[in-house]
Amino acid sequence: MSQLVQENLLLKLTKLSKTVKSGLEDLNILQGIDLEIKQGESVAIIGASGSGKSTLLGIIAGLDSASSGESWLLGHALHNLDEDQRAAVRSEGVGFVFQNFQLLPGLNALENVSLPIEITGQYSLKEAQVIAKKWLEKVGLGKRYHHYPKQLSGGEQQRVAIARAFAAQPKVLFADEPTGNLDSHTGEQIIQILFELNQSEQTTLVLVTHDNALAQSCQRILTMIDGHLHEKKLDQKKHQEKVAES
Amino acid sequence: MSINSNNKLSGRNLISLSQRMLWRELKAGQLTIISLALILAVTVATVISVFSNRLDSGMLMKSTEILGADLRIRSTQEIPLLYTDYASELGLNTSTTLSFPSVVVAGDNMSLAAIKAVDSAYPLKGTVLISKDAFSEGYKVESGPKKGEVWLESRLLALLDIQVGEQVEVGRSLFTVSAVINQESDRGGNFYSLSPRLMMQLSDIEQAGLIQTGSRVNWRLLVASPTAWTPTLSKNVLNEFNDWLEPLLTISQAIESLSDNNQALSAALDKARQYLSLAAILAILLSGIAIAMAARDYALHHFDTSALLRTLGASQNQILKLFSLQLIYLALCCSIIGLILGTFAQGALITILSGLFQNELPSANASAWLLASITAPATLLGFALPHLLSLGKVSPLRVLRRELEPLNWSAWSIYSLAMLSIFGLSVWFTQNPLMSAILVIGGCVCLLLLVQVVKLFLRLLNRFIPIGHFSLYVRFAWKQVMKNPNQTATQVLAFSMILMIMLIISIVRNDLLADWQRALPDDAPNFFAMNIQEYEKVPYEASLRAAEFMPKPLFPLVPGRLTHINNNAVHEQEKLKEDPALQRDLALTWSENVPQGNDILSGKWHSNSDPKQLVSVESGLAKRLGISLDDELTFNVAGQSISVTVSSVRKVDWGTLTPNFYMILSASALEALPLSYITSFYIPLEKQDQLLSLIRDYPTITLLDMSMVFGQIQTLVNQVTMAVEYLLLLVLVAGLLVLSAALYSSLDERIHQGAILRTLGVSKANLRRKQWSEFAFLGLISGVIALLGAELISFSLYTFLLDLNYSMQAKLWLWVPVSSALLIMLLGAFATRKVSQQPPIVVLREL
Repeated sequence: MSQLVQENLLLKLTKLSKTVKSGLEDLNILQGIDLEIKQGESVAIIGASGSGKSTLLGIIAGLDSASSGESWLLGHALHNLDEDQRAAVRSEGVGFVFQNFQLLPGLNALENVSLPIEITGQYSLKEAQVIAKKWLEKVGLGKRYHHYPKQLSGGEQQRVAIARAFAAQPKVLFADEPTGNLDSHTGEQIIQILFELNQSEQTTLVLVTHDNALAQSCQRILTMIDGHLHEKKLDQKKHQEKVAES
Repeated sequence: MSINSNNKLSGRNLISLSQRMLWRELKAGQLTIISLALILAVTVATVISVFSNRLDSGMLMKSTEILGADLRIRSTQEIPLLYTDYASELGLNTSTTLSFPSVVVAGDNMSLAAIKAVDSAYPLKGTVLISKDAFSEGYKVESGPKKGEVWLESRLLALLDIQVGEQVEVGRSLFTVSAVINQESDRGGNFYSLSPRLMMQLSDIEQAGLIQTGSRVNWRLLVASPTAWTPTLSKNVLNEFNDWLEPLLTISQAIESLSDNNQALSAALDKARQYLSLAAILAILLSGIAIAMAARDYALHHFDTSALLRTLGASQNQILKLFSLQLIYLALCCSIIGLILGTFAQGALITILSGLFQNELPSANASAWLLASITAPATLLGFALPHLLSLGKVSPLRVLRRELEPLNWSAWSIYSLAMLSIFGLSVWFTQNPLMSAILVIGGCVCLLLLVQVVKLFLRLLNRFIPIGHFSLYVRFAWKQVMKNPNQTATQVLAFSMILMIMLIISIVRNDLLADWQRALPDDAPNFFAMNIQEYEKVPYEASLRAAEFMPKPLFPLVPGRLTHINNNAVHEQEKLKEDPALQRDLALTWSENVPQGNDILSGKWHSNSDPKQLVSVESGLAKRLGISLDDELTFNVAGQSISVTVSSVRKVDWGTLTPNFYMILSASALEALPLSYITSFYIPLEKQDQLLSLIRDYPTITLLDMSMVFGQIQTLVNQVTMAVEYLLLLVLVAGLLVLSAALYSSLDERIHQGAILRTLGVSKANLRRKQWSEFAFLGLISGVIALLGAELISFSLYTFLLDLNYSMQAKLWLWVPVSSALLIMLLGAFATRKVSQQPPIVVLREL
C-alpha cells in the first residue's frame, strides 16, 4: 500500500482476470489485465460492445469481484474484501454516473442527491440537504429541487446524477456511458459539466464510453479488445489543445 | 487503512431515511398494490374473525337458551345441596326443576301429563312464552307459575277440554290454570317426552303429595353465569365448576349438554361452526396469496433501488433494515386501516342480520381482535420475508447489468415458510388442526403437484400440437405462455389457488345448505303421533290426509326391553346394567328397507322374507353394549321372550326429524305381538286449530308437538344460512380483488411487450386478440387446476370432517373452466387496455 501512496496511485490492477460460466464452457471476459491510474487523471475505456468494458468498470469500482489477480482502490485491496467491506470503500470515496441515470423514482432531485451524503453518516439530514442544494445549483438545477425523475428530461436527470456523484466528495468518479442515452447536444453539455467539476474538485475520472468526442477529452484512452486492455499513447500537447477547445 | 464494514449511517438516520422513502413511494403510488393487499387481508381477517366470534357466541347463547342453562345436571334423586352451594359460592346462579309423569284430572276428563315443577329462580336462560288462549301468540315472562297456579300446553287443554281460568286436579291438590305455555326455555327436543307439559311451582309438590319414594322423577340443576359477566370469566368459572363436579357425580347423575338432548340442533350448529372456520381459513389463505404477490412485486420493483444503495455504499445489513422498517411501518398503517374497515364491515353485517337475532349479539372477545391484528405481521412474515431477504442479496453490479437477478430463495423454502405461517394462524383461529391441515397443507401440496403436471402437459402439448397452423397472434400468445414455463406455472398457481378458494367455499356452502334443507325442510314434520292402534291405523292416516297434514309412513312400534346378550342377562353385568337403554323399554320396529338417514356400517340389511329372525342395531348402542354381528339378543316383549340374531350395525343420522330406532327387527319376529304405530306429520301454524278435532276424535293417540323445538332450530338455521351467504359473498369479493391484483402484478412485461408490438405496426385489434388468447388460455388451465384441487379438498373435508356425502358435479366441469377463462380474459383485457389506448411511446417511457 505504501508503494501505492508513494507512486500516487489511486487504482492498480495486477493480472486481473474474470471468467464466467456460459453453459458448459468457461468464458474469459477479462484476461490478465494490468492497469495503474494516478490521482487526478481522467481515463476513458473504449471498445466494441461485449468486449468487457463494463465488466472491468464493475470490478475496478468494487461492484464485482475478479476471478483472479489483484485490484487495489483508494489503498484497499478489493480482492481481499467481502461485498459489505467493498460497499464501505465505495461510500468512502467513490462516485458513479450511469448511462440510465439510476435515480430513485420515489425520491425528488434534492433527496436523490442528499442520499449518498446521508449514507456516509457524517452529516445530518439538514446538512446533507444544504450540500445537495449547492450541487444542484452547480449543475444548473437550482430551481428544480422538488421535481421527481419522471418530471425531468434525460439531460436534467443526468445532471442530477452528476450532482449526486460529486456531492459525496468522491476521490474517484466512475462513469458508464454517461452520454449514451442523450442526444448529442445534451451529451456535450453533460460532458462539459462533468469535466468542469472533475477539474475543480480534483477528482480522478474513469469512464467507459462509445462516444469518441468524450474519450478524446480524457488524458488517457484505453481500448478493450477481447478481454485485453491496450493503451493508446496520446499526444499530450494535442490533448491540451482539445480540452481547451471544448 | 482498516475497513469498517459496519458503515456509518446511524440508526436514527436509517429510520428517518426509511420513513421518507416510504412516504415518497406512497405518494408516488408505488406501494398501492401491496398496501391494498395488506388492507384487504386485515379487513377480511377482522370481519371473519370478529364476526364469526360474535356469531359463535350468539349461537352458544342460543343453545344455552335452548338448554335453559350454561350447564345442566340431571339426576334421578334430589340434587345434593353441596352442588348448589358450591355454584353459589362461585357466583353462579342456579335453579332446580323436577319433572315426572302424572295424571291430570279436569272434571270427567283425565290425561297423563309431563309435570315440570320449577323454583322461583326459573328461568335462568332462554325465553318462556305464555298466552291466555290455546294456539295463540305468546308473550315473554321472567318467572314460572305462581303458587297454586299451573300452566298447560295447548294440547293438554284440548285433551282435558278446558280453558284458561278453569281448575285441574294434580295429585291431592287443585290448581288454577293461569296460562298456556307456548315456549319453555329448557325443553330441548327429547323425542321420548311424550306427554304434554304441565308446569307448576316446586313448593306445591309436597302438599300435592306427588312424589313418593320410588317415583320415577328427574331432578335438574340448572347453572348459569350472571349476565353481567364477560364471556371469558363466565367460561372459566363454569369450567372450574364442571371440573369440581365431574368426579363427584354418582351413577344416577349426569351433566347434560345440548347434543344429548337435541341432536338435530347440535349437528346444525357444529356444521355452521365448521363453515365459519372454513371461511376463516380460506380468507387467511387468500390474504396470504395477496401479500405474497404484493411482496414479490415490491421486491421486484426495489431490486434497482437496492443495487443503487449498495453502489452508493450501503451495507447489506443496512439495506435489510431499511426495507424491513418500511414494511413494518406499512404493515402497521395497513393493519390500523384494515382493523377500522373490518370493524365497520362486521358491524354492517350484524346490522343486516339484526332482524334475525332476537337478542343483540355479544361483542367479540379479545382473542378475535388480537388475531385480526396479528394477521398482517404474520402473513407478511411468512410471505414477504423470503422476498425481503432477496432484496439484501441484490448485487450492486445490477446498476451496470440490469438483467442480474438476486439469488432467490428456493421455491420450497418460500412455500414452506408461507404455509407454516398460514397453518399456524388457522390452527390458532379455528382450533381445528385437521381442517387447517386439509386446507392449507393439503391444498398447497396438491396445487403444487398439479402445477408440475400442467408443466409436463404443456411441454407435451408444445411438442405434439401443430401450432404452426394457427394464426400469428394465437401462435404468439402460445409462445408467450410456453417461453417461461416457470413463470407461467407461477401465474397459473396464483390464479388457480384463488379460484380454488372461491370454488371450495361455494361448493361447501351449496352442499351444507342442501344438507340443512334436507334435514329441516319448511314442511318438516312438526308433530309426532304415537300409540296408534292397529284398528286406528287406516282411519287415522285417512284423517291426516284429508286435513292435508302430509303424514310420513307409519312405523310399527313394539315396546320391548333388552334382557340378554348371547344368553347373558344384562342386569347381571356390572358394566352394562346402569346403561339408560337397559333401564327402559326400547322402541322395536320393522322395516322392509333401510330407513332414510340410516347407513349400514357392517353386515347386511335383512329382508322380511329371511327365514331367520334378525335385528339391525344402531352403531352407538352396539358399541356401548359391546354388541357385534351374529350376537343373539333377547327381548322381553309383553311378557314374552323373543330372540333375534344381529345381522347388521347401522349408523343413524339423529339429525333427521323423523322417527329413528335403535333396533329394527325382522317383521316375523314382531308381527304377532301387540303393537301400535307411530308417524309424524306437518301441520302449518294456521291449521293448528284443526288439531283439537283430531285430538278429540282419537283421544288415545298421543300427540307430541315438536313445532316449538323445530321453530327454534329453523330460526337458528336461517340465521346461520344468512351469515353463511354473507361470508360467501365476502370471500368471493375478496377473491376477485386478489385475482385482479395477481393479474396486475404480472402486467409490466405484458404492457411493455404490447407497446413494442404496437411500434412494430401490429394493429390494436390484433394485439388485443393476442393478449386475450393468452389470458383466456391461462384462465382455462387455472380453472381446470382449481376445480381439480377444489374437488379433492372438498372430498377430504366432506369425508373427514363435515360428514356429508360427496358427489362430483358434472356441470361444474362444464362451466368452471369456461367462466374462469372468460373471467381472466375480461380482467386481463381491462388491465391491459392502456396498451391499445395510449400511444406506444408514452407506455414505453412510463415503464
